[in-house]
Amino acid sequence: MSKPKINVNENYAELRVNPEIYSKETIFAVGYVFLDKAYILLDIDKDDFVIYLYPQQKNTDLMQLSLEFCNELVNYAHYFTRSESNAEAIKAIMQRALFSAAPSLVQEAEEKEIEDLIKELEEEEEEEEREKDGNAVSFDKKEG
Amino acid sequence: MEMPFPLTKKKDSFTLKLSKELYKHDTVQKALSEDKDWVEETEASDEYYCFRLKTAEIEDVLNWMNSLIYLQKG
Repeated sequence: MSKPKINVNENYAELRVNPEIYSKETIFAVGYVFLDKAYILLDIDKDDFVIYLYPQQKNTDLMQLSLEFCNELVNYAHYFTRSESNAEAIKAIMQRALFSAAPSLVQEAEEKEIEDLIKELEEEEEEEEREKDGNAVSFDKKEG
Repeated sequence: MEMPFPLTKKKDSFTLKLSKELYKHDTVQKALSEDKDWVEETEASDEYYCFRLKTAEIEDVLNWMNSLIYLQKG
């Protein structure tokens, strides 16, 4: 039987979260937000991230604090997921904004892209040549 | 006072274990360099850093733990 996700003791609360749902980055981001409310210790126990929360104020409701932490986990997990999916769009917008300020950069970027493509094609051709030579040797050996 | 697993109290000090999978090496080294007069790295394992914090006050330890979060995120 798995351990309870939130366990409140006399002095601290223990939260267990699934690392397949919440990344380390998310947990640290939420921890950072909670630095003025709680003392935070992080650990890993088998399949769970474990978050220990000590209250900074004496009369803090630890269950309430834990639930707020959980809500922020959802908030930041959503934020990071959205950021990742929007990354390409943001990059394109930034490039457009940058290039409009300095048009010569467009030409430089295009030349660089062409150079990279040519290099990639050359590497592919070399790879094919090597494979052909490799097949020819094994064919000759069979014939011989 | 009840302590979670990674933190144990000795007579005038605390022992703290931090998972290497969670806390970055750079962060830990930076925190150590800032507090080397009272935080000492002891024998680590493959999975954990281990520290001896030479203080009797749990608050000092808790603040140090938070400083790691701050350093790693900031």
